[in-house]
Amino acid sequence: MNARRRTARILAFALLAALAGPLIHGVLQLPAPGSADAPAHANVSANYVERGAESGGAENLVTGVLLNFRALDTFGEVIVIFTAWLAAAAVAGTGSRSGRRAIPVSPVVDYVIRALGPFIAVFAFFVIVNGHVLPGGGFQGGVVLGAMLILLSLVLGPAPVAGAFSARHWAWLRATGVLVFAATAVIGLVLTGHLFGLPSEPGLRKSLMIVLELGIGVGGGAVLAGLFFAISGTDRA
Amino acid sequence: MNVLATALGHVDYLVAVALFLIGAWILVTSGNLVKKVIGLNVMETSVFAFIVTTGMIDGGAPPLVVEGMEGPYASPLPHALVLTGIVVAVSITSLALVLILRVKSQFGTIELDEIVPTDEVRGAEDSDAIGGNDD
Amino acid sequence: MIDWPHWLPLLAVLPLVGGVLTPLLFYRLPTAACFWAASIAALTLAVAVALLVRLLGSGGFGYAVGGWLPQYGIELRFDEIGALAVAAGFIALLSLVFSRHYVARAVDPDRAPLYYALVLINLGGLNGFLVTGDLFNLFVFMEIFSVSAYALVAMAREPIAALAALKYLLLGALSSLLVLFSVGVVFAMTGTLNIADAAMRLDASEPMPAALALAGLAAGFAVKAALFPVHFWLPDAHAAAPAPVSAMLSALVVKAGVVGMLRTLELFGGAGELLQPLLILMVWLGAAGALGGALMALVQRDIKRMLAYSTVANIGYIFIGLGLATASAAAGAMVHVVNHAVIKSALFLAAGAIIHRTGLRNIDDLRGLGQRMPVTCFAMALALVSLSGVPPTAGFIGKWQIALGALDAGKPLLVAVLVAAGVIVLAFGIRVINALYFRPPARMSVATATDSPASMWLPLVILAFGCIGLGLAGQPMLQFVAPAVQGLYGIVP
Repeated sequence: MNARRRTARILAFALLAALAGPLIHGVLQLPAPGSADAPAHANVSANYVERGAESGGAENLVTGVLLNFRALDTFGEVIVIFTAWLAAAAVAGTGSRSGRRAIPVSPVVDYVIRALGPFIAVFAFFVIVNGHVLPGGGFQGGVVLGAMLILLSLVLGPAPVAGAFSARHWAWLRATGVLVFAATAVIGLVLTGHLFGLPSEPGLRKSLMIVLELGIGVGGGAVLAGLFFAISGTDRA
Repeated sequence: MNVLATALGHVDYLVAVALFLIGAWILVTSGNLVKKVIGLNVMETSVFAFIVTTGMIDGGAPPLVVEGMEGPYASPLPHALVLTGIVVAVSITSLALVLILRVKSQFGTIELDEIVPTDEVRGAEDSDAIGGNDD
Repeated sequence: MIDWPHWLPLLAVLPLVGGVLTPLLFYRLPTAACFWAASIAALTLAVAVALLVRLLGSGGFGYAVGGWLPQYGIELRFDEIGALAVAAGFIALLSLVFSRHYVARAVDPDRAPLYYALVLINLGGLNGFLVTGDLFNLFVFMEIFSVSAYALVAMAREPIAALAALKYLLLGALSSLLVLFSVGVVFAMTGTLNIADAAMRLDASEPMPAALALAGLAAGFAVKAALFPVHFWLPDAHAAAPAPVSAMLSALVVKAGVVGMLRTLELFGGAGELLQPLLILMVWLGAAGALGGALMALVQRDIKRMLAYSTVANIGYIFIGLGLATASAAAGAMVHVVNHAVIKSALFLAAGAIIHRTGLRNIDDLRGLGQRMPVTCFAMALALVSLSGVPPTAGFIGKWQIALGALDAGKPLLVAVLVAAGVIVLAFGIRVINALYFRPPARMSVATATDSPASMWLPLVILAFGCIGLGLAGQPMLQFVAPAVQGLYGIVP
């Protein structure tokens, strides 16, 4: 057993050492990172930087790229995260550990986390709705929201948090991102003639983007909580 | 000297390559399934670091076109790609952890060496044989 | 109606949204979920057919998602390679119909709606992957069909399912990562993610990083396609998965790896000299896979493992054809992608029907089943004959074209490899047919078995006759893929 392990290690080391040479040689010949005249800044990026704020509809150019220029990628991303929950729910074992407190916590920790909960939720929504002007957005806010739900599950035990909604309603919440995105795509088709297009009228576009971010955030947070429930054996839906 | 200058200029990429190889080492040599997933995560992080570095500009501002932020702006495209990549990585990691839990409950271990695979062919029951001891 | 431009994005969006809605609308209603999923798959197939009709009428076309110019947004394009979406929709539809009765026993009934959702999402990811013209979007759709595929493998009740799925996941995630890294390298070199745009800018660039990106993409897609020697995740995963999922995995998901390789060849068409070592490697690894896969299939006792190894062999043929890089061999390889998809899905569904009705999966246990399950066994025999490449069935054309290409390229040794592999495939085909038809039953479950319900034998029979039909349609199909071959290897930019 041990000898086999050692041979495997030596083989792996040889393989990775052989890989290291071409990798290092290759990246050294790439344009140096940080130089403003690298191709990475030239054509597409230059266009985003010059006109992205107006045509993309967000002062945070990353949000403009995500929701507008490359909306299909972001739609795919929302699908992937929903699929992750679907997969976890389809594969996870049955809920043998449901309702049990994951870790015993002191009353101080318990109290502080209960008190912090609402503040974390407010921060999550702040991050979500300001995604077009500040660093942040739907996914980032969704992660904060999911972290809050997981934190509460750790302290209160997963059952009360998972029981806040019926399994069916949780499923709808998790799909919010996909459904809002699909609806926006169709609205874009009606208003602009392009699927996933956003209207050029700034006010309408901004409202649509905030709705999108909210959908992504709520859906992302609910999915993350759902993944935690699936792993901890609480969720049977 | 020239090589050294190139290496210093590309030090961000070299760090990404080093992380990539470290992650690959953990993924390949570790017999513990959770450690394999950690190795995969280290590799993912290295690729994200690499991609986000391609959009960097020395002394540049984050791509926020607001008051007080002056260009040159970093390219927003790699940021968007990496954000998508991170979400994908989270999905993969969570599914891997769920599967590891299933493996653990089935085989009682998460060490690959200790997993004794059950017979791959689920053979038919002997009582099913025609001319067997029953029927 | 057929010229409505928005069909192209709907090809991916429709099954994805339909899949997400499945567990919401049909929570704990497995039968309704099955009907819903089959309807969505049928609609997707109709969309794919409409796109194919437009392609036949006016040639390849694109779609700018969100109305942005190709480089700035994401461009979808429908070409001869993307037309594989028709086969994807067709096989997914038949697999879903087949699942109606199969799933009740193969997975936990409470979770059946999740199963249908994952199948639809898998189909949507595949379709998006086939039609996207953007490198990063390719990665995103690849992850959609990969994540759903890992979960579908793990849903099976087989004892090794979770371990097989985990192995598949680790290898799959590693290969995705290689692809993502290469996408990053291409972006750093060219500043664009559009495949056509990047292809034009790559030829003037530094050779070394380009070689790195090419190696990463090729290695990543080779794992996805289960090319020898990175095929070892496949037999466990495809044997453990529920049969309709095995059908989709072997027929479509590994073929997505081949399509990824085709896109890589397109991307580096302008840097033709870089491709040469890769093409030689593809031929040799393909030959090793064709022989090794066929030999491994021959020694299997489990019928699904046998079929899984045969997939490794067929992927080998396809890579030989692509690596030879002659017009006839590459066209043959592309046609074989579709033909093998139909043959292998027929075989996996037949194996699934047999396992469902008898609970047996060991080939020796199936003796005498031909009299008890005539329709299923007939379909299986027909597909096995086609698999071994007997003319005029579907398995023949691709192999014949690849052999012709090998002769053109002056590699008679390869022809010998192809013939040897063909003989081995014929041998295990005969072994199964012999057991099914010419041996007395040895198991009570065989002696008391009855044939499968219509929802199971109908898809099977359709696919089995497809093996003949595609064989007769060989010439038109070769002509159809000819323009796509022109776009590879930089023959014509």
